[in-house]
Amino acid sequence: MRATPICVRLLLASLSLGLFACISSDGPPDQLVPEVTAAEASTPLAGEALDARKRDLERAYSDLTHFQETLTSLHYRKDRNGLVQFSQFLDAYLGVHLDPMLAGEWQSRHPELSALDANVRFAKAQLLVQLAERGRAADAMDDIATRFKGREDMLVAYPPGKQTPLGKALEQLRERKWKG
Amino acid sequence: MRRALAIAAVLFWAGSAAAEDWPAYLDYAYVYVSAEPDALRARLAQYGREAGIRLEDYTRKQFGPGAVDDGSDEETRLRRGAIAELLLYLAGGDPEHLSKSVETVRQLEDRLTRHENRYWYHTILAHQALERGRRFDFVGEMLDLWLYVVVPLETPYETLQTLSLGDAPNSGFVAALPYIYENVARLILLRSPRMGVDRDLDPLGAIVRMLADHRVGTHPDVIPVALSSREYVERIAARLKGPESDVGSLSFTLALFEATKLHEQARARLAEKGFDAETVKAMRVAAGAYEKALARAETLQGQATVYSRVLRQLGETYAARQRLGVDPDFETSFTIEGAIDVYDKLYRAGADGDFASQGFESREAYLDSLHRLWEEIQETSLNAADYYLTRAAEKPALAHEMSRSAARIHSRLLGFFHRYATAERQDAVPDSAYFAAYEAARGTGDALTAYAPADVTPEELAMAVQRYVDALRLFPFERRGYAALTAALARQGRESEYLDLARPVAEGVARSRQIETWIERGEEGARRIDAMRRALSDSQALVYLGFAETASAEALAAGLDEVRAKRDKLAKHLDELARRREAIGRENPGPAAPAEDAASERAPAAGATELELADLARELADGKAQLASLDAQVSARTRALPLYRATEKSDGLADELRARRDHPMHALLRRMYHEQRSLAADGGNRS
Repeated sequence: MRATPICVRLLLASLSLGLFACISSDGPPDQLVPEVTAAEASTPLAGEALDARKRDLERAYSDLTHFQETLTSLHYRKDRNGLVQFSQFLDAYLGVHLDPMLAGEWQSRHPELSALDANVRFAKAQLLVQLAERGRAADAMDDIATRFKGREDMLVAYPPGKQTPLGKALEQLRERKWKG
Repeated sequence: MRRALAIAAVLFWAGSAAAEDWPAYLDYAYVYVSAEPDALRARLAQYGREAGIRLEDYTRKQFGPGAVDDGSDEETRLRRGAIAELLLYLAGGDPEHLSKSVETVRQLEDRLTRHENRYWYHTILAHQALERGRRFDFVGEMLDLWLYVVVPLETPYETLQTLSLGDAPNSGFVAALPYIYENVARLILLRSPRMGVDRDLDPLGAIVRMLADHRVGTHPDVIPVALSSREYVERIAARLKGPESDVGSLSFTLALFEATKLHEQARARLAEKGFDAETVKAMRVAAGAYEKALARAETLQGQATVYSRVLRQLGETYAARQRLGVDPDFETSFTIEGAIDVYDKLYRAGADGDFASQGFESREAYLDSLHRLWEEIQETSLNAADYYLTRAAEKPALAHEMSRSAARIHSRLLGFFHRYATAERQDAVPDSAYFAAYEAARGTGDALTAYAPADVTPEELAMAVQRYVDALRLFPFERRGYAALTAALARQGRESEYLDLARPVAEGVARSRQIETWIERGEEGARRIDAMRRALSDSQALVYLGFAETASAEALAAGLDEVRAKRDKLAKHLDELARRREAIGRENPGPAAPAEDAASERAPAAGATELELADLARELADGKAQLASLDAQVSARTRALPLYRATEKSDGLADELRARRDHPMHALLRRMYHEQRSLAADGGNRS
């Protein structure tokens, strides 16, 4: 029998210590079942869930237009304090509320929701452009391009108040990103 | 829960009562926390009676040092304690209670995952920010409240509503959402201005827009629409983006709204009580509020909006001074000159077509703003001038000064009009400006001839004549304007120039294609201006207009009858003369060769006959000339008098245009003015 190298013995020892440590901890781990992803969590199962998501998207879209109006006003008035405060609010709104809602894949493909989903994504991207968040705006636009690949003819509400084919609207939005 | 909410809602909104104890009242305090202080005091007193202990005592006993354990958990106890102190602060205004509320609610900072805690936490801190005048803190608390309380509750609330689970015992704080909307609206729109936090609120414009977007007042089963602030919220939200906004600024909109409200109160008091001390005070307060709104205006659009409103107040003041004969001590920093200055800047700024940079959504919105400001400038100017003219008439000792003041105001308005009523700039001028210019021109003439004392200089009289002519060119359908011109000319002994001055005006009317088209199409007032046009096409009628203003048409008709009678009498007399001459001719047939002896006897008789015949011939010739003249008079008067009488139809037209700035005929006056300018320019080019 070959002698076990000292380094291997040390490794085994450390592993066993680790196992022991695991075994010796009190009670079960914090999460017995791994947390599901946002995309899976938001998959609709029934009619009400679909309706609820539709309402959420509609509300988010109109809220985003209100945010855009407010941001435009603050920019125009060169209200720096207001811009800082409102930008922080928007950042949190996007991170805490909107992004989790938009994380699901299914709603971008669902025939009843895809147009609404695209509108919200455009509104979000436009808001990011207004916030001068160019990197995040570019990500949002890339995400739109990926999700809606092959559906560039679908009409979306961009620029606000107009219906434009998605591909063209995306071009216009990318153009605007660099113009600021 | 839903039932409890409904009961609580009824308790607050409808004013009925039910037996509850303080923990329940405090748990549902979001239902009534936004009540006005008086109503809140009454409500808390009623609850105290029902609970058998006043809130002050309950709070001291339950949440103060050595508090009695009521079995509730610490989180609930802290929340109720914070709410109780907040209610005492809101009802009584003692900041000490607010401090205690803040101190208590801060102990919940590690338990803010519960929406109820979080709602009260941000609400109480928002009140603290208002109490201390910390506007940025207030904005931050309201944004956090929306983000961490409202947004997370919206989806669950709708789901519970859809599934009819609003009454479910576990629906918890989710069911409070309609009240939270209401409370947020009242805190931002009512409480903050009242607490003096009235600027740097613009980020909250987003929340106001969202509240107006199917949130406030859209749950009538919970809060009756009539009791919600829905209408107010919608009005504010509409103002944020309307033509009277300052690129969506909430601070500006609230300031203007407050000023408008105070203005309306002052106006109502003025109408009811006249210029008493309280009215003047209310007017000053309103003017001060407008000054504040002007300070909040970042854009020319906002400034123009404030000036439009405040000029209305100035105009009303002048009108009331004139009507009531009182001259109160009321001054503001706003002037007509200031408004004209804003108008000039607004015009220059928009001349390059970049309306968006001025805060306007479209060119139409931009022009609408320009027109509104213009009309307020002209109305205020005319009201102020009228006031001075009235004073001149009432107090002869002041006539010299007052008449000149009126003339100056009119002249300023005419100068303003002259600068913009050009081919290039006319879009900036509203239709009603042309009649207002007529009023100012006519007013200048009246100020210097009818109202000024006898010390008017020849230069002033010459100016008055020119302004009367200008007035006729702007509005030739007011027949009294022609008589006013002759009166002014008479003051200078220049009556003979009347036709030289009036005829070009008359010819302009007769030749105008715009008037022709207006009449052909049968537009409003067509028959009346057609009567005026036919009169102006007749030189005799034009003379009537200038000189016969004081004589009634009946008197003129009686005069015509007299001329006819005179003419008939003369014709009869001439017939007699002719017959007599014929008779003399028969008695003395031709001069035969007289016999020599008889010639000496008949010579005197023949001489007398010839003399008589010569007299008759002369009388007949004179009579015939006079008859021809009378025939001409009869003919002319017979033709012109009906034309002149027909002009009476136009009486009242000026009053109608004065009363209605949207009268269709204002558009005709605009077209006529520019038609004349165009013809004059063509004539100038040809020469």
